[in-house]
Amino acid sequence: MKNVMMLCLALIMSLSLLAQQSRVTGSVTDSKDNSSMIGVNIMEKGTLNGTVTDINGSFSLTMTTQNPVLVLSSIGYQTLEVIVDNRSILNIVMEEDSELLEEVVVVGYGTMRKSDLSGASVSVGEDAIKGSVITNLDQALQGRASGVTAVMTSGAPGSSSSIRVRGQATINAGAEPLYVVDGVIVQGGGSSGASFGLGDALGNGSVSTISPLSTINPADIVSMEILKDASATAIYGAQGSNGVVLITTKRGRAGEAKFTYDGMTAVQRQTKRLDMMNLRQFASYYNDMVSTGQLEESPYYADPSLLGVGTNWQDAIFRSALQHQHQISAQGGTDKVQYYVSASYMDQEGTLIGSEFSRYSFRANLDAELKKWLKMGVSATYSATNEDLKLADSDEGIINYSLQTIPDIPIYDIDGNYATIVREGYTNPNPIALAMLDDILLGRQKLTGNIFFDVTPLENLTWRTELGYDISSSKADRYKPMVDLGAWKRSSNESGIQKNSSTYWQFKNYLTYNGNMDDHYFTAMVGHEVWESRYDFTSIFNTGLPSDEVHNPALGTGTPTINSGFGSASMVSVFTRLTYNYADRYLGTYTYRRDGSSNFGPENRWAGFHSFAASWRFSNETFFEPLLGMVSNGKLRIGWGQTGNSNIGGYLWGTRMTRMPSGLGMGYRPSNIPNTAIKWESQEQWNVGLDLGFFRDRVNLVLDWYKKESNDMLMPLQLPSYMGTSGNASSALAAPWGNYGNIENTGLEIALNTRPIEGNFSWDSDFQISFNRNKLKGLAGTANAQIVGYGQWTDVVSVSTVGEPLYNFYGYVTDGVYQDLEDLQNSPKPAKYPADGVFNRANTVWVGDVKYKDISGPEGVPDGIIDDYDKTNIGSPMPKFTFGWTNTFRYKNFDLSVFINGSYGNKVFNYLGMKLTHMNSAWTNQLNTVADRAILAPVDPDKVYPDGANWYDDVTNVRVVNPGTSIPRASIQDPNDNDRISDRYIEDGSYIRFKNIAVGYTFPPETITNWGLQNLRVYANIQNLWTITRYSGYDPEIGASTASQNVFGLDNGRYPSPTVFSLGLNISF
Amino acid sequence: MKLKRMQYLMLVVAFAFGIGIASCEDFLDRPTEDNYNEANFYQNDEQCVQGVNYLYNSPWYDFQRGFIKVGEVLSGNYYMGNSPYLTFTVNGTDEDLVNMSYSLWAVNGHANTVYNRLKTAKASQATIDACMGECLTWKAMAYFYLVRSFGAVPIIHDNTEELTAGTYNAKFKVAVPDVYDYIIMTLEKAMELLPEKAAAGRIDRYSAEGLLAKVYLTKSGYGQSGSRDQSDLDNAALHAKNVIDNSGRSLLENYADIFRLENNKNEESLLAWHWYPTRDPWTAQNTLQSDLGMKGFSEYGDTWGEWGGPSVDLQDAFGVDALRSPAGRYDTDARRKATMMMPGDKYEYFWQDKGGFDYMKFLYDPEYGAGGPGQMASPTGANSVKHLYGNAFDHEKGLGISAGNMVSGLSTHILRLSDVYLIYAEAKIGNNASTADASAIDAFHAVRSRAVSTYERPASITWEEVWKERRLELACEGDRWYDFVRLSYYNPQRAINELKAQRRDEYWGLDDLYKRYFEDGTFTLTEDQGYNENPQIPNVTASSFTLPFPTEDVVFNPNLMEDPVRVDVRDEFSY
Repeated sequence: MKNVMMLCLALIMSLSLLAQQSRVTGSVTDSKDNSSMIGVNIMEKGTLNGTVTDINGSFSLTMTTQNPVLVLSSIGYQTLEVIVDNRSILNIVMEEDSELLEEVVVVGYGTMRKSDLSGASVSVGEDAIKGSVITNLDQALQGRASGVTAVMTSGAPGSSSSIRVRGQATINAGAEPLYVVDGVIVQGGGSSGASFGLGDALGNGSVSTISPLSTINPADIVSMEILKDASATAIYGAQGSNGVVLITTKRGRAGEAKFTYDGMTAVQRQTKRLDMMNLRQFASYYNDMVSTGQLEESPYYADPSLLGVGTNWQDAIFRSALQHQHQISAQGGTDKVQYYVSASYMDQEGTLIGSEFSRYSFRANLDAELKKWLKMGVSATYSATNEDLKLADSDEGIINYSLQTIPDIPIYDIDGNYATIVREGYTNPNPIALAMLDDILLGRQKLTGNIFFDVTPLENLTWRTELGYDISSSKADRYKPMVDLGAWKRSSNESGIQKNSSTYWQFKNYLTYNGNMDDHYFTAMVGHEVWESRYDFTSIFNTGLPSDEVHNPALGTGTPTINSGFGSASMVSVFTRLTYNYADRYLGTYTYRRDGSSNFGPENRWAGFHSFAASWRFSNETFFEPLLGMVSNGKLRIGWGQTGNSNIGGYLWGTRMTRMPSGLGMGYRPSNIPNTAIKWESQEQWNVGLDLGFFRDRVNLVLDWYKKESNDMLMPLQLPSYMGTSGNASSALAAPWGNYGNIENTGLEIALNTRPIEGNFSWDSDFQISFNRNKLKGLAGTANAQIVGYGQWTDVVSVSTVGEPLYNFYGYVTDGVYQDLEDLQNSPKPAKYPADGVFNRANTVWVGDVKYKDISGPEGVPDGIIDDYDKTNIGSPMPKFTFGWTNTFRYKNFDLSVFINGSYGNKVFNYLGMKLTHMNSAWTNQLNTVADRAILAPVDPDKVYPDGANWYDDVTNVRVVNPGTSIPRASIQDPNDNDRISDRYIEDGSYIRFKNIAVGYTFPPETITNWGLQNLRVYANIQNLWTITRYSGYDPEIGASTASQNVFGLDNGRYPSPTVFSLGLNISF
Repeated sequence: MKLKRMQYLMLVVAFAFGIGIASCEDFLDRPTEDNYNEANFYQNDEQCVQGVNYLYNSPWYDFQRGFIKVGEVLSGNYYMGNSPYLTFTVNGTDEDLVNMSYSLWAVNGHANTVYNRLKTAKASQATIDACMGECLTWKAMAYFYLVRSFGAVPIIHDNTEELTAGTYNAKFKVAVPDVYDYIIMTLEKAMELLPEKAAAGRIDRYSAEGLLAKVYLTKSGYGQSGSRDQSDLDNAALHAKNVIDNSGRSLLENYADIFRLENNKNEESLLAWHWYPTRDPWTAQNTLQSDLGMKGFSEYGDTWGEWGGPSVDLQDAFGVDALRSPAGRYDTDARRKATMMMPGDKYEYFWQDKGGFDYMKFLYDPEYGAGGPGQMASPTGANSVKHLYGNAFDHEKGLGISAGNMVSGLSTHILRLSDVYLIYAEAKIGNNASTADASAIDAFHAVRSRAVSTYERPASITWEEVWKERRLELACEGDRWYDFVRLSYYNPQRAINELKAQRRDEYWGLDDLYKRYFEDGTFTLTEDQGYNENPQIPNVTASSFTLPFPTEDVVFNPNLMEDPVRVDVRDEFSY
């Protein structure tokens, strides 16, 4: 290698005929792109005489020895020795160090060569992040990384995603992976609206649309490593059980400053509309109810042909929304000091009227070599986000309201004010007024970063000491103005503000030693980490502000409500990692971590976590050599490890007292039942993996099989309501938290990365598919322990039973509708079957009502009665597999990438659809599909009723005209409870989505250098262009419920993800 | 050189590691920082009292809707359109029913927990006893609602013990008579602990005893046919009499005053929920005005009750008729106006800043009634008065603190002295048709003559008179349904007949009638006005008197679907 280099040098050296001189000048360029290299260290060998290249890559040095030799060094490049001979001008080319070029990946507390990894991890590079229009970095994980399912909680701008690494391994709120940015654990500040002080404005669930990750600017990220198996995550011990996402931000490289501008502007829209009844259709529907004696005639609807189509509330609440973002960054530096600085701004309107998200962020990363043995790194980022939030889903969300609002109400009245309606006690707030009048605002600020020193006292030994910090604050602002919409009046306004602040610091020290003896390479790392986080909040709420001009609760004239609170958490850990590599063939890793957490009581505060992994790179064996032409790389990996979870909040081992003022004075209530024995949730995971590369790595296949079992799962004990633990959280006694369950996830991940076509036209393909099976293996308590999830308030929609996957939907199975009296009499008896045989269409089950299947009874067999025994599993929201496929095509300067992702086998509970087909109120609009409901007609139209009774009240004379229908009769009283939870609302949520199509053009360097540019690229991108699905709602991608824990895949008017058309520009100079 | 640097380095490393580990346990010990915890609370008399204050409001919060819907809509005193409570079509998944049961169990859970904790409190014995007595009284009240609503229910004597023993998912329902015994046993202990006299608004011995009298009276008919158990009746009379004679409490002079904010802690009230007007924390407050008050009645846009109102049948009982001109209405009973507002009524205690509240003007004067319904929305021609506090000014004036959206501090009285008077009268009548007992007649007369000034002391009183008097005296106070339950224990057919005969349905055309009356003073009925010709008669059967036990618990515990078990409660449980 060196010989080749020398030859190379010889060729390019200018032939100088000048006699030996003591002065040498010249320039240094990079072999890759012929660019000038600045800051290259040039020493005259054997002396202390030296210099560095200047900004143009030039140098000049006076020689002091005979036959001088120059030694050139620069980070990332091979050190070079140049014999000067008699030359006075030298043009030297330096080559990058191929050793360093080998892919290095970030692992916890260090880096490793990718080829040395024995655990399972997956990288998402800068390209994937750049390739899609994302606001939050977690959105970039969708479909890009095998073993990771990412489902957006909402289509709102800046919204959170539900990320699950290798399935749902725990059921408490902390099922999201750990995010670590440059070694600093990301501090969420809560994921529910209530934790920010928005009360229930965003729903009552433990997750909301607010994303902790939306404060991070994705454009600053260079790569993300997702550590999946326990041997990889065990180094994060107590915090690693849900997987770890290590995020690395961009850092400077030596050289002249390079400026980059990235800009993007986009239009977003909602393409799908539900088929709701328009005014004419609604009037016919109403009149049909009148003709069967259910409603009184209405003069408004008497003649539908005179009516228009009425208000289309969907068109009114959805809009085309703009988004734009700009980022400018500069990087550069010298051999000793490198910097990266950036500033960015983004603003995204939501497609739901009134919603908006904006973010500013600034970053400065600095690396410096202070001494030969001492390096320093500093990074700091500040970000500020502002959100205009709207409650889209849930019973009180804008989507529910808008769809249920009947179409004869105008948006505005003739004076241009918002119109509203009240019909017999049902007040539907005008959805537009609701969206536009009430404020739900959230502003967040965050300063985060770290400073570290790397000390190298001995060769191969590095001591890193690092202080990380995160200082955050937020301001949540809720305002309800005075409203006077005629029928809807609120003459007293309300204003509430809550400010939260939190500080977090972590201090860690670790020593890493790299050693080798012959072919035995080993590293040993030992370290210590401690962190503390503190939070506090104050809130003030008042009513009766004199006007709505200024939104400050201090202006209120009512009695103010003031609240404040504070708390803290801490953790202390020691850890070690040992790796061993024999001749790049046999590799092994052992890690151990011991953690102490303030979340646990003195009895069980500490826990230790081990892991082992080994791999065999069989392609490096001598016997494999004949096969190398075909199989260029082969590695078998096996690993086992333990991790833990303590993510439950503080002081659950004791009983908290909380304030509860009463009419008799201040009161204090024990808010929970304690559990002094609460301890770590632990997880054990096996992983077997195979890496194969074919045809000089043009085809790469990574297979991983895993089985992970979570034991002692942290969760609230599931108790029947007679234990006093149900109902409003501030009124019930919270059930004890403890270690109550076991969950097992097994799965298979396949990633296939190929380059089918190379050359002028090239095609890269990345395909990954993840299968996961999830099973609840055990729950503490009795045989009947269950985990129950609620739809909105008290209706059980999901039940997780032992031996089944988590979060199965639970309800009745339908069996068509009752055709006639005979059918009623011969079918299993529902609750409203009249004991005396006297049927009444308002009080008892009736022809046209839903017939439910008799599944079981008290003896475990069907008993002819439809009751609670007949409720059963009606579908799982867990996908059988998810996949993603990225294809990148390049031709000359054009590139095209097509990214498809999908999910198969998951069921969606169309809870919104349930309310849009219940037909039990005359004042809510319904889907047009209710036209296919069971239509009743007389069996004998000629039957005469001497007492003036109607055929539709005579059960012997009623039949269903359309026997095949699955939609019941319309019934205002709905005695049979036709809209109870049943498989009527369970739909297939499988989908294939053209997630991203991007086309770009990079201008040729020769053109743009004339313009003084280094790089110029323009691109266009379409996101969510097309979704193939059988789901009838807006969007089959539905994450965790924002209304209730333990519910997944329930669509209660989820904010649908928009289709985004964007244009972008990337310039560097 | 190198070695020396190495030595420094090691020192620094050792130091850094040392700091972390030396004080680790202290660093990691973090109980709740911004509030008390159970270990450092209950340290003095004041904290013990504060520790039971919340039993007067928060755990009861989720019961508020069920309180009206079961107590009043189901019993035919209150009309709510399309309500399954009106039509006897309530399911076990009904949200209000489920919430009601949540609340009652929460009361029990909290009462048990605080009761146990108080045993080791650091306070004077007198205070500890009083507080423990309050816990037990509330617990008994919760079980009293439970057994009358759902019949047989499980007995959770000690939540912690059930948890420790792991028996919580295997509980059986306990038969109704045993639940009553358990309530009696609980109240007896409460009476032992409670003081003779407590601070205003708090439970004293007579609160528990008054409740005990009611429990005995209710229990007396259970499982009987036609008549009631004489010893239970005697016990009811005994305890009621003791409250009447010795509690030192008396009836307020003016009936309507009982329900005003100023009188939250009046002496007639033996047991009351004492709310605090705040949303933070939620469940501290009274929200009944929202469901019962008419739109626009308060400033907060938080009332929506105009479409319902006291029923036609209740109006009949009071002798008033929405189809007759308000000008000719003669109210003999002062309780009518304090229970329901009808055209022509004016209330000096509502909207005091605007010179009082005028019902007709509110409905039809667009200026005065801005934001209101703008029409006679109630299909019965009446709207609720009880449980309303008025507007922001009234609240501020009555309590000194402001109301808010779904927030008031109006106390809800759930056991009043007049109730105990009528319990006494009924117990004395017992299994006879009437009584001439002077003390029973005194008690009855005291209640009725307060409201009906012309009422003279009778020579005897009948069961029917007491039955009706209870309805009028306690109308819309969440109690009437339980009168029917009590009756159904020994005479279900009478209860069924009365419910089926009620005029529970609506009037037609009232808006036109009253609009015209408001505009030009003419009051003429046309064929458009009248009681629904085709009224829905509810399908009331003997099983209607037991509401469906919320079904969601069945997934945890299938034993709930089994027959109730018999338990000798005094043997099984003790305080």
